[in-house]
Amino acid sequence: MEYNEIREILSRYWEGETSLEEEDLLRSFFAGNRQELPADLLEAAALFGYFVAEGEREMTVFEELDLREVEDMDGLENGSVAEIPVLEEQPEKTTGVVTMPRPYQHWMKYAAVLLLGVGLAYSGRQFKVKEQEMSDHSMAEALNKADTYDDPKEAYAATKKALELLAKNLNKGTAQAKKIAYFNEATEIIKAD
Amino acid sequence: MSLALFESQVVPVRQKLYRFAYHLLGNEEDARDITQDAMMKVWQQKERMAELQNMEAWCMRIVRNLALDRLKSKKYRRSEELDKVVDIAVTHQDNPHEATARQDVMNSVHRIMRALPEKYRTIMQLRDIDGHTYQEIADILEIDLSDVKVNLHRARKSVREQLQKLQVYGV
Repeated sequence: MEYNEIREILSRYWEGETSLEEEDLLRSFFAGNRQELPADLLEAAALFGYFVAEGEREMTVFEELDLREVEDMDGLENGSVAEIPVLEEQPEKTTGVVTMPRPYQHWMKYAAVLLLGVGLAYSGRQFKVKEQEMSDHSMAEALNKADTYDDPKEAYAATKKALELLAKNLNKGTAQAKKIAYFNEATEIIKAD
Repeated sequence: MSLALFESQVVPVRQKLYRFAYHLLGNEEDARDITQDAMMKVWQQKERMAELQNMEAWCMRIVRNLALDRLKSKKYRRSEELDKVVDIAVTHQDNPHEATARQDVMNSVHRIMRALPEKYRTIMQLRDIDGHTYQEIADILEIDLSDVKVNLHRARKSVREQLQKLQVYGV
């Protein structure tokens, strides 16, 4: 008898024609009668079981607001939203989040700061080395620009000596090259024969 | 608007707002963020509060819009918690086999519900879990009353078909 009534309400439920009271009735029926239901009611039992479970799902508990604080702050800065302490969550109560000790929690931050420090130190050192190189280079340039001899005769003599040395070495090379030329001539004569 | 109005009409519904955000996002942390953002938004628009007829529906609408924005944002990664179904309380009458079977059924129904289009899922959530009237749902979703009924009917029909297909019987 009761099942028939439930069936009738259910058929209207699937059509979307039930009232909230009737849906409440269905919820409480399926919450109380889980065992030995007729086969045709089982699909609805699964769904209503789910609704009941979801409806009872524990949610985060919000702390009670001290609205006097909001009022005080609102008086100070009318219209600002920054000061509204709207929701205070209490994760330990519901979610049971394990919080890590603080130093380990922020290890990436420390690592980043350390890396930044090392980077800065390295670039500073590189800058110094470059500066040193620059000063050496400019000194060499300055030395090159400066005259070696004050007396033109001395300068002429030194240049002449340097050129002679060059010519001597060059001649040495040509003397060796001449020997090769003999070989060439000899091979050509042999070929001609 | 006065603080008294905020205190009497908005503060008491925050648990409801949180629950709504949770079902949209499937993640407790994001739901808390969204609820907080929504409360701030309500406070920012406090001038409008006096002229509103249904404050709760307005708050729910803000929560929904914020939650949908978050879901749309590219950065948002759907949490695995979406697939986490509520744990069924095991009573002393249940043996482990029955309890596991019931949990399996709950998981199947949960998957069916999560697979529904957002609109259908939200309407079913608001009606079948939160117990809102058709008019309240229409106000929250900013749709016609007839649309609420049509969509609820389609949503339930779709869920029923899926349940029949899966044959998740044995509760």
